[in-house]
Amino acid sequence: MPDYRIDIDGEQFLVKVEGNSVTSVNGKPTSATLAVEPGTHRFALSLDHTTYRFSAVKDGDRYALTGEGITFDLGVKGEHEHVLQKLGRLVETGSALEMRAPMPALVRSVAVHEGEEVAPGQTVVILEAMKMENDVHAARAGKVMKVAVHPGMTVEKDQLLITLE
Amino acid sequence: MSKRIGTLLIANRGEIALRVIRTCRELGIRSVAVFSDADRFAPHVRAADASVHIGPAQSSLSYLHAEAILAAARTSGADAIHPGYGFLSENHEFAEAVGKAGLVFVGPPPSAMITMGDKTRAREAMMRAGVPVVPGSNGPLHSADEALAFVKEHGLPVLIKAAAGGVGKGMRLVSTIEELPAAFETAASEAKASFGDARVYLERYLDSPRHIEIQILADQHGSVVHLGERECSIQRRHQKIIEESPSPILEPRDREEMARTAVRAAQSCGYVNAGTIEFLRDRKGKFYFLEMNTRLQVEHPITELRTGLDLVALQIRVAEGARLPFKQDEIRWSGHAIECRICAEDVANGYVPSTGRLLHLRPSSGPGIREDRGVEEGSEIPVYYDSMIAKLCAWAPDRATAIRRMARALREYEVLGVRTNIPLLQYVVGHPNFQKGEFSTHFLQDHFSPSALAKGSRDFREAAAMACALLEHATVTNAHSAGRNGGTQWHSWKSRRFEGLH
Repeated sequence: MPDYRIDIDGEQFLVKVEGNSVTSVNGKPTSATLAVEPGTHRFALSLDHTTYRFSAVKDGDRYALTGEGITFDLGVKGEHEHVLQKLGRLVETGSALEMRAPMPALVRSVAVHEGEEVAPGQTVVILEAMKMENDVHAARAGKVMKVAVHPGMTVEKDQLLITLE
Repeated sequence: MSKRIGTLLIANRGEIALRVIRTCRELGIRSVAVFSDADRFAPHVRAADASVHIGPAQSSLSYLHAEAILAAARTSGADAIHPGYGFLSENHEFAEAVGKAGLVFVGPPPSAMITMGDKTRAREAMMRAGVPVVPGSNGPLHSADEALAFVKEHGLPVLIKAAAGGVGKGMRLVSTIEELPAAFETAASEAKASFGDARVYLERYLDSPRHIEIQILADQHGSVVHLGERECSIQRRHQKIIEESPSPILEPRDREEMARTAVRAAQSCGYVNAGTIEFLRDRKGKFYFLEMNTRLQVEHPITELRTGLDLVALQIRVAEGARLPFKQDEIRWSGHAIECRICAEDVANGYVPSTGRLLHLRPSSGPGIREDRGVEEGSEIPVYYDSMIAKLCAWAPDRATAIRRMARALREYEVLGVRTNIPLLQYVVGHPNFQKGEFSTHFLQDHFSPSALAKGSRDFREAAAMACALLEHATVTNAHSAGRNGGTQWHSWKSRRFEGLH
């Protein structure tokens, strides 16, 4: 279940999200959903029986949000970011690079074959977890020595995906 | 001498340019906009019938560049120029050049601009006309000794003002006799550096004054009327941020006296067209001439809301040689109007101008709301010009209702992408002293600090955090399933349209 760390002027909120709903805020069980007015910046948060109306835009890596005359500048860090940072997690054995799954996942697709030369940052495998697709990128250039997975199979955490020479 | 204007060039930008263009459209006058590099896509440029590029973004090379503007008038076939406010609007040399080019200048004669543009000369002219002026040195002072002599006669505190200075510029407050000589010398050298003119004069600084100004209008046939007063006491560093009409403090008899004095002041300098006489009113109710602005003011909309008149249209008709279409006793006022200047500034951080793109702009509307704005969603607020986003006005039958209406309108107004002073405006409008009409030009100094700005309730902040998390989650989900589209396009992953939203 993804966590999001929200910062409003130094005040931190830890928000857990499952699917389309919030399930807790700073540990307190909460239930909230969001409706967006399509094609606009306007949306409404439904929390218990209260509706909060806002407009918001994403401004670089921050959000600017306004409602009822109050405007906030928010910083957001999602757990998926930590996951993404970990993808392409490297285990160097000798000079070979073993790329392993950072969490249990379903292999959506394999983008390379054995013997292929890859460039740094090139997508090698796409995994699906928590309803999110995550690209696994080659951390450096190299030749694909071993493809250990195929589309449709599930992998455990740390299971080997690809070995680069 | 009546000459209909066929094509009017507006030597300005932003909201005032758009304002004048709108009246041109209503009068069937062809409008010409001018624009700098920074304003290529500005709303005022699109609104005009024709537009001419006049130079790079810097004002000195574009909106202040008289030759470029006159050339634009020639190319576009304009027969008149409206200078707006700021820029060249009070520059008598520009007005003269316009006349020499055979064009009509929509404003006063250069002679009136000369008299009223120089603060010392204006004071002298007013004293000759029997208009009370703030006790001050009659003419520039040439030495610290002269300054000391003035203070001995008229008391402290005093303001040392540059004769060539303007709003809030070239002014220095002196409260003790000890600091006077040094302050005098510094002020003179600063004036020389900033305006090329070292002349300074002294003025008594009034204790907690109120800034009340009278709108006047005069035609080329000797008729001069007043259109009522505006109180502009809510200021920050001499910049007005909230104006209202009528003034909550003036009694009818004071109002009449002030208005009559203003008319006399305008007549004394042979004024023609729209202008404003600014007064300071002290605690005892005495008022003194401060200065005359020989142009249309930023806050003219509140006068228009109360009188139902179009001041720009009247300016144009006067410039064409028409007589004023009403006598003083035919003018009617109705209700109460307040204007808030919404500016792109970071109030919590020393009012630093907040530049950037208006990523989201949703103005207020509904009963009794008027909004004058020259930017739109997607516009850039550039560094080169002022930080004003919009003038938001509320009209209602009485002051209390107008205040409630303005508070509502400020809550409704949404801007994202730059910081605004909306929280400050809300603070003032909600303040008991403002609501009671008990304030002076010191209001913000006395009652406001950035820590007073509303931060929203705990519930609201939590809700904002939740909303943000859900938005981010949706963005990430969409980005990946849509195969890396980037996170800034939000598809309606929940495509149900929200009922009852606004």
